[in-house]
Amino acid sequence: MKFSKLSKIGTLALAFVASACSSVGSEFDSSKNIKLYSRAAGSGTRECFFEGIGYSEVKAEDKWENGVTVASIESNADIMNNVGSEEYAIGYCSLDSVSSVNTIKALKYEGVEPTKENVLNGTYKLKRNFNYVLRDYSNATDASKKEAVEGFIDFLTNTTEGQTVISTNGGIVDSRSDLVSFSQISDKYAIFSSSETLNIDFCGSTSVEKIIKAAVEKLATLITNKNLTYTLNQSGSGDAVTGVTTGKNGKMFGIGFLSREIKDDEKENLTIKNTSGAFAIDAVVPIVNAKNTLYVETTAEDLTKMYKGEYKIWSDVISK
Amino acid sequence: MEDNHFQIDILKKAKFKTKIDLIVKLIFAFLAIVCSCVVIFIVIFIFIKGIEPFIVPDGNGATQDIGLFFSNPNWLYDGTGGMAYMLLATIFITFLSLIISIPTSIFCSLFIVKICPRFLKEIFKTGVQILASIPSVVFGLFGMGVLKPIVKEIASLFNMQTFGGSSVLTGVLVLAFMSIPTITLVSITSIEAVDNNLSKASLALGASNQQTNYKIVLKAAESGIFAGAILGIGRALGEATAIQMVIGNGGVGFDFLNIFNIYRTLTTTMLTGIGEATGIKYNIRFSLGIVLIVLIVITNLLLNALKNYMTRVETPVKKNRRNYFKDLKIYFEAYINARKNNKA
Repeated sequence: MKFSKLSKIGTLALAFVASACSSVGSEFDSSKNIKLYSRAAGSGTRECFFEGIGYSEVKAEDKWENGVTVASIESNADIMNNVGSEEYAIGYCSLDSVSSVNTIKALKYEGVEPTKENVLNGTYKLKRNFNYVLRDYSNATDASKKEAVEGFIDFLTNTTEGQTVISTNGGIVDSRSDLVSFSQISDKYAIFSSSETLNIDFCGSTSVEKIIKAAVEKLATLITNKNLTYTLNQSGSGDAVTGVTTGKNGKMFGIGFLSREIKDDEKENLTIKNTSGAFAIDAVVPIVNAKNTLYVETTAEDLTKMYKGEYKIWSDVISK
Repeated sequence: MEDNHFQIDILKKAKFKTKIDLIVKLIFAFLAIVCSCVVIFIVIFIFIKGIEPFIVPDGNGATQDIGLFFSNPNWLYDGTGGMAYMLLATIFITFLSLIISIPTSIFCSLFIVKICPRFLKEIFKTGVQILASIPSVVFGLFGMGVLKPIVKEIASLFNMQTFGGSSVLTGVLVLAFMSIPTITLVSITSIEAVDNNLSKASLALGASNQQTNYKIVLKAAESGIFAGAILGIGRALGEATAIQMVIGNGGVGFDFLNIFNIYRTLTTTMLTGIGEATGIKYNIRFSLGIVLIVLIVITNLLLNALKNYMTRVETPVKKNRRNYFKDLKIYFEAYINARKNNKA
């Protein structure tokens, strides 16, 4: 008697679960809520994205509107994984890694496909320059430091090896015909072949950390001076200009890296001796889950309204 | 003369031994003081660094507003965030995970000690010990890989949406998985320490096995099980990495009451975005650390008081004057009765 009751409940539960399982693998239901994903506060990619779409109130802090819930993800790979596992998600990530993950799909932004060529020819707008600013080493005693710093930037921007390092680590660089190989410039910098012990400190943005770290490692294999080291002390683009002009906590840095343009009030502190320039471009791409076949292109206005909570369900956006 | 030499030798050795005793005592005392000082230094350091954002403006001139620290339902790192709702969420999530983990652990330990056959006991015990020594980040990965899809399907059964499976429910499940081995191990030790004669006596009086287990064995092992529960609560309250991977880190106000929503706890907020944090965005995490320390201390004190109350021993009431008079009355009545009987 008891067993027959138990078996009845068991089959009912199985049928319930089976119906649920079948509903999960079904079509994309545009009456579902949009699930918003973002990078954590302080990320350079987040700043670039929200600045680009025109919603700069939230670019540094989670000042979302009332009723808007946005999940906060730590890193680029994490946000791609999360968007890839939630069908109704929307988020953003940097351009270099989008093609390697097949559970997500990049959206066209303002009618432009997010490709490297479109970034370089200026039609794709969601991008930012990676800049550097050098310390003023015009003092005679700092001659070897000046060589080390200028040599690094020369390697990064003018040699084939340097440009390859940048593009394999996520930066976008213009393919130029005037690139030279490292051996042709290494003679200009005596520090690369001497045995002088020297350490140069870098500071500034953490978004460039991956590229710069790889560049430092590559440079170490190309020069003969094993006592020349470069140390990264990345703490955010805000510290880049102060690090090379007045120093941070009493410490001076050789090169400051920024994942944004130099602001006007920072430019006042730079002298003509602090050279600066851009060395790579970083592009941010809005992404959705690959199962979301209905949504293929987006505009800044749409994205802003989604993150402000004015579009709550997918059919609000897709019907346009 | 020989005796004298002998006695002097013994005296010398005794003095030497006393000196060695004293030196060793001092070394042990020094080590104990150093160890306890480390804890005190950590707490003092966190307090000092945590009070700083309220008083000293950082590089950009921002300080943490005290009123907003308690009243703002949203958490921001720039000095206007509020932690009161995160505190409630931490307590709520820990409480839910304890509802799952404490009964499971007690029944598991009872099974391992009393019910399962001898040859299986060591296997289960080793299994629980291995589970207890797994690092917490592995539980986080387990939650991300296995629990998130399961919770997503559970949510679709109720026609609710989650953030790809990240939700308060996933966090509660991960915390429960983490505290179960800890509580089980301590409960096993305390149930094994119950005197076997108690259960034998109860069985001899006619109680069934399960009656003995619940009314005698568990009651006797109560204080040990409670100590294990306190350890489990400590582990659940302090967990950061594993929870951060599955709980979503978003949400404001009372959103945590719906368990399919994402939210944030004190510990995950201290961890999120720490790589890019400078100035007040970094120092404010120490203020959250103060809140967490205060919460853990208060929880431990309350639970210890509760444990002492639950395991108090009833002392017999002192014989007072009333009983003395009662005795007198009995003697008097006996005397009267004896007189009556003698006469009769």
